[in-house]
Amino acid sequence: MVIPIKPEYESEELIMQINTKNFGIIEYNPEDVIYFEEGIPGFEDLHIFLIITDNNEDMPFKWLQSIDNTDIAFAIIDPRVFKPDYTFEIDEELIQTLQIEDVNHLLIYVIVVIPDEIEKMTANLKAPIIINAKNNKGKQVILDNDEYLIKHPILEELKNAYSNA
Amino acid sequence: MLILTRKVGQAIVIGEDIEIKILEIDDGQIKLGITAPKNISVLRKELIEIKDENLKAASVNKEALSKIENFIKKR
Repeated sequence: MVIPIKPEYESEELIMQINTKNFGIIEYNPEDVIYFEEGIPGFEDLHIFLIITDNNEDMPFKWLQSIDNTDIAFAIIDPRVFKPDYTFEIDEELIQTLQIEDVNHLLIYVIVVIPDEIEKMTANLKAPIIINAKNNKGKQVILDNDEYLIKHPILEELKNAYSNA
Repeated sequence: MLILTRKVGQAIVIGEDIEIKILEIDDGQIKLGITAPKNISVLRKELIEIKDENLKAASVNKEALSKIENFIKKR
């Protein structure tokens, strides 16, 4: 009689792999996947993403890499790096969607656009990406705040933030 | 641009089957109720701008970003 041998380990971490256009092969733990139920505007079919850092840890930029379409990645940054007073109200709808229990669980990023003239890079402060790190649910929210621009120039503020650091 | 004045509870009709009703006015905000056929898309205008911006952002490449990181580091 053959007795199946039980694996000695209880559970091995499951590692998945994707081959991305920008970063080649990325290995990730499925637990780290961030789920955007509604996708993001313009990419409503993309639901699962990873946040990755490409290079140097002290640099403020990260990437929101799509797993559904491995060609797509967005450069993102925590807006408080260059705009420490960045703030917004969280409405009931967002609390429901992301099942927010504690605002301290929230990660906040904005998407960066870099045109050919890099001096003109902008961040979309009007529509932050908000992630509940407790359950890895994310949503791009459109704020009801006229002060924050869709194309907010950031290079000067970033340079200031880094020269003061 | 056609400009109309409406009160709460009143509505306007566009074409045969689109109705926009003023439901509530409160502290500079107006709540609208929109009745339209399923094939008519109704979006907040910002959403279209955000879509365009996301489409632009998706073509950002990492070379451009590393250029910027160098630029910041030099300071």
